[in-house]
Amino acid sequence: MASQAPQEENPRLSSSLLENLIYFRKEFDGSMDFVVREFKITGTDAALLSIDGMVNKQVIAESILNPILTAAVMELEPEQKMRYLRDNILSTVEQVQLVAKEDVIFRLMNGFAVLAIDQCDYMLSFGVQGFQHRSVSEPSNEVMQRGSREGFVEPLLVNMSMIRRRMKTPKLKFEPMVIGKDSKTNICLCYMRDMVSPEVLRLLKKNLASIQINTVLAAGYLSPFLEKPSIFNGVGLSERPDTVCGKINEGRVAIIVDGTPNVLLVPFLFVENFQSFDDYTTRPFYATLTRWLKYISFFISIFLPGMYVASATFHPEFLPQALLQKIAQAESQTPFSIFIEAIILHILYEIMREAGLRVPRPLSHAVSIVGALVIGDAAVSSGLVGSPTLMVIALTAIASYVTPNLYEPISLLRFIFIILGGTVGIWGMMLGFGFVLINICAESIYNIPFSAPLSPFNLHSMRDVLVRLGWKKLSKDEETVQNMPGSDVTLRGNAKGPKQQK
Amino acid sequence: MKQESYISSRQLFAMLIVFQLVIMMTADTVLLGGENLADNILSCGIGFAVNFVLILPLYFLNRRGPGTNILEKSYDLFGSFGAAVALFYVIYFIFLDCYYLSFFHMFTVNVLDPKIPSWLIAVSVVAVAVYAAFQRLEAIARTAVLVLVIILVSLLFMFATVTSRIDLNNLQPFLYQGTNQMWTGALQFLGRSACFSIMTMVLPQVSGKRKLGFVWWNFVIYGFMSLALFILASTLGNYGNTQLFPFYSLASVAGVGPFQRMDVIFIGVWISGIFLKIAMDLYLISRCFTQMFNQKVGKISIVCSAVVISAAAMLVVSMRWLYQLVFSLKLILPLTGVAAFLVPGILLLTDLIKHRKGNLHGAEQAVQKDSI
Amino acid sequence: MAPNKQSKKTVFKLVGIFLAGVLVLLAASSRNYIELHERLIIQGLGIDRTEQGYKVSVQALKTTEEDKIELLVTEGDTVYDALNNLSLQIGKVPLYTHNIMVVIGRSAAEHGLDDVLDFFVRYHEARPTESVFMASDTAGELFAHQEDGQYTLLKDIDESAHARQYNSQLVQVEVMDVINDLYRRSNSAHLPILSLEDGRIEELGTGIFEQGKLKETLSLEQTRGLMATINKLEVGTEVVQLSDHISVTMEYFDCKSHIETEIKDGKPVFTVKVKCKANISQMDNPIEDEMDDSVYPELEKAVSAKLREQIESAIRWAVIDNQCDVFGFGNALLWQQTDYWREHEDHWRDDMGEADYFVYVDTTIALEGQELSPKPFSVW
Repeated sequence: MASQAPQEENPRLSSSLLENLIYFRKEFDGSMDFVVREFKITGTDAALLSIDGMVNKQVIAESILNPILTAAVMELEPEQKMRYLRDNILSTVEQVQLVAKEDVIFRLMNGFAVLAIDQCDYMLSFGVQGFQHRSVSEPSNEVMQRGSREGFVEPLLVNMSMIRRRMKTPKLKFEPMVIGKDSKTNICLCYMRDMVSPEVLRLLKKNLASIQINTVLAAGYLSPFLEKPSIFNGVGLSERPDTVCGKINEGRVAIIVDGTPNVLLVPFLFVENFQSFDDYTTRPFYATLTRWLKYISFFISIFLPGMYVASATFHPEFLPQALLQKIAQAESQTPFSIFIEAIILHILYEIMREAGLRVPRPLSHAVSIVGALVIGDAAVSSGLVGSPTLMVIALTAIASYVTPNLYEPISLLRFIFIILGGTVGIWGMMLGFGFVLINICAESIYNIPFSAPLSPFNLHSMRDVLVRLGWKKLSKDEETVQNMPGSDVTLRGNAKGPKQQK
Repeated sequence: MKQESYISSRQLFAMLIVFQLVIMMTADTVLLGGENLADNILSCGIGFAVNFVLILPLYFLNRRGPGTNILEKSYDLFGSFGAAVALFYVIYFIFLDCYYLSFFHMFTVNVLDPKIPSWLIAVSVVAVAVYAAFQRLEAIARTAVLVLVIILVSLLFMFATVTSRIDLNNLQPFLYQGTNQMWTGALQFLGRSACFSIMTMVLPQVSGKRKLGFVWWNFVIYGFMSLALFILASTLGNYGNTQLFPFYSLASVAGVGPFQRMDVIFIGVWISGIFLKIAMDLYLISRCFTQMFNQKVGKISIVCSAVVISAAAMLVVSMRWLYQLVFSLKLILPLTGVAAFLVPGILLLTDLIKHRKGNLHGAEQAVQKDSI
Repeated sequence: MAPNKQSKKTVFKLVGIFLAGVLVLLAASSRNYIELHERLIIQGLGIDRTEQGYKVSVQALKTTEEDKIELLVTEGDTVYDALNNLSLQIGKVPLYTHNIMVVIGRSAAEHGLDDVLDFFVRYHEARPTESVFMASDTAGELFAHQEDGQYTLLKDIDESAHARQYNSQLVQVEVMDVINDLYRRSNSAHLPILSLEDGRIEELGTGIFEQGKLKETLSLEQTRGLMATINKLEVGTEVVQLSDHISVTMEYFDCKSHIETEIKDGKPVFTVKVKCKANISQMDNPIEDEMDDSVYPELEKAVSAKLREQIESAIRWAVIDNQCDVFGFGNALLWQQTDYWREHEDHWRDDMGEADYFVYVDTTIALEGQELSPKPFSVW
């Protein structure tokens, strides 16, 4: 555990037990979970401090209190007593000596029990965490057919162990940090020492160290500090340990945030939105097919509604005659223009989606029935909206779930393209597309082009972008993210040189 | 000055292919000087060969100073009078973008009859170009690579779908009406190409095999244009001669199975190419102003130049005499010749002379020193 | 980045977004788009010439009912004027992009195609791939034709016309083809003719044009000859007679033709060489009378002779008698005798009647079906 406060803000412990107890009681101000068990060790006053609910009381009783109270401590000096207890009596695995008051508070908050002896100017902390947490289960947001069913949980140590179990190499390193003035959230940088770029790591640490935030309650709190504002994410998110292991093996850094089952991955390139763990467990031809399905779905989910609106409103010549007739018939029977219909239906869909996420489980059936009836049936049969528009929106909605990582930008862009298509027509659509393209190509994540390896193009990388070659070929030489064409970072600790072009 | 980024030679030439294709596809029989488009295939051959000559001043200039672009070189050689070169290129790029945008505007008004104000479309194109220009060279180059792939795939698909309509009876024998069209076409291709001017400014920032890239670029643009002209002539025949934008007409007749009316391909190709071209030129204009003044002025110049380009383009299409002047070869050919060949040539000669004088001067000094 | 610079950058971005929003709003407020159901989706245009100008019959899709067509008739000084009057008449804006066919009435054809077709070349919505037909009388009559109380769907007309084309007695012509023929000095335009006979729409043959004006018509037989010469003969059937009066139905396919030219005594000589394949579809011969393989040369000769006769008849009628080079002889001269063409292209119309034309047809029988008669080969 890293201590976080500099020396001048972190006063040393007093040798007087009473003074220390007064200090800590004042700090916690009578909070009911702050427990102090006072006792004597062969006549010397002592106390065991802990936070109720964070510690395992049975372990405390069996490994700390019981041995102390039954031990024959012959030493006279308090410091000697403490040393004797530490070296001979106490049987907990993790014992850390603390000399500063803030460090004691930090340890207490992290489920440590702290032993204090009068006239001893240091305390001993013991790792006896016993707080309740959710058991490891299948991640709900990243469902895979063939991968493991384990997903990250809230405690940081459990998540670390899941990664360690999969990467049994000493090259895997976990570096702790603390973020958040009030929450003092533990985070952990996880990377492979021989794969990561030192430059990327350095920049990342610099960014993390400069974060000024009071509370960090989810991984998403940190994302904005790690990337430049853009439509698309430059920081990835995963709930799966196998995915994270795969990514760190490519030179990325994983950031595990205590209290959240999502792990951040840096840097995150645009093409990674279309890669999933299942791609690497299925046959190459099928993986390639699904990869292309994702690309097509992405374009459908962004452009289809806008193109539909633009074609029907300004450019009917683009539509085949039979389709044109259907749309015209539907439009003649509804009060709104196709542009307004598309906007209304999209808003309705987003409302339903949001309601579906937030609704209490007992009510979810009701919501789905109302949604299906209202939008699927009543709206069309009452003549409020046309069925072609509804079909388009439905197809778009389904297509957007093929690439869940991109849902947020897709939602936004979809609306924008509907507005552009409905107001400016195909011109607006094309220019909007150009704008998005420039936005993707202009972005760099820790000096690695966000659009790599599509642009700058690297043919070799296409083996895992446009297609998914078999493992016999993929395993031959591993690519790291910092080796992407156009990147401006060092290669695995080499001295900084000119840009690498392949 | 802020450290400029590097791009690869592939990126540069992909960008230049996009720019060249986009303007070549606006060709019609008036611009190409006659009705026998087959003769313009020969024009492509001439253009291809002439490009190898046009590149020579720039090539040798770059060899003598690989890390300096033409603006820096002009300041090195002429001191503050080098600003004249920068100013010339500013005017040249503004003129060229006004030319391209006017064509685009003419297309939208005549062929598409949009239901929104056409000036709004033109302004929107320029607005996106401004955004792209602010993202600088690397972003434009990366985008151009993607756009090139999209353009090539779309055009090849379109060409493939019209092959069933190819009728060799629509063609005429080469040079049936004489050589006039061939030469006019060649001059049009050369005059409308700003690629050399772009190279004068960005070549020092390009890494990789530039010579090979140049050869490929030359081959691709003229090869593609030859193919396009052949398909155009043999598919549309004399009908194509009646059209203001025959390539658009070709797209409108292309189709196979459910894929009909591919006009949108042409529109998409053109828009994606034109805003990138304008973006690149705006970026280069900002480089010129940065060279002349400072970075802040350079950034402001992007927006100001964009406004000037939009306004000028609207003005051009609203006055017949003006667009007759702008769209003829009288202005664009000499301007391009100066920008692509003459200015680099003059700088090269000056550099050669100064360098030789410097050598002589140094040799004299050495002799004097020895004698002392 | 210093806070000052950061805030300036943010302000700049906000201004940019605001301006973009203003642009979009401007576009939205100034747009005058037309809703689809306010558009008249035109499927077919029929153009007749009147004393005052043109009468245009329009068949359009009804957007309120499925597969329903409405007929509208309008007049004007020009074709576009007439179509413009249409929108005043019904309050809808015509949409030409989905127009399938153009039928030009005899009166308009005789007056000249140039005036009619300029609209289709110039107007941005018109497509050059619309099929063009000529009406034997008026286009309006064809468009007004109803079956079972409904206007015959234009698509059905077009489809049936295409289907008949596979019997190679009706040429398929698009606007682009007509424009190309009108433009080329070396060619004359031609259009398929439709007629309303006994309440049914039938094909009559091909109209041939001289300088854009209707000159004469080719019969169905002559049309086949034309199609064979211009490489448009894809599939067709023909009945030939063997020497012992046995009727044989043959099916043509894979016909390729080539025109060779030479100049003899200052006069062009054209040789039309046609190579065809044919299948025996049916023989009116008692099944028990087996025929041997000596029948094949006779059959091939008979089929070749029939096709040659059709081609020669077409050439005689169109080129020699009516100075309408619908076969592309002038084009062949342009490519093969370029210098001669350069000197004579201006008076090709006068010269074409004086040229010599030779036709050779070579037919090979490919399949005779399952029956072993005639025998495909001899054992000895």
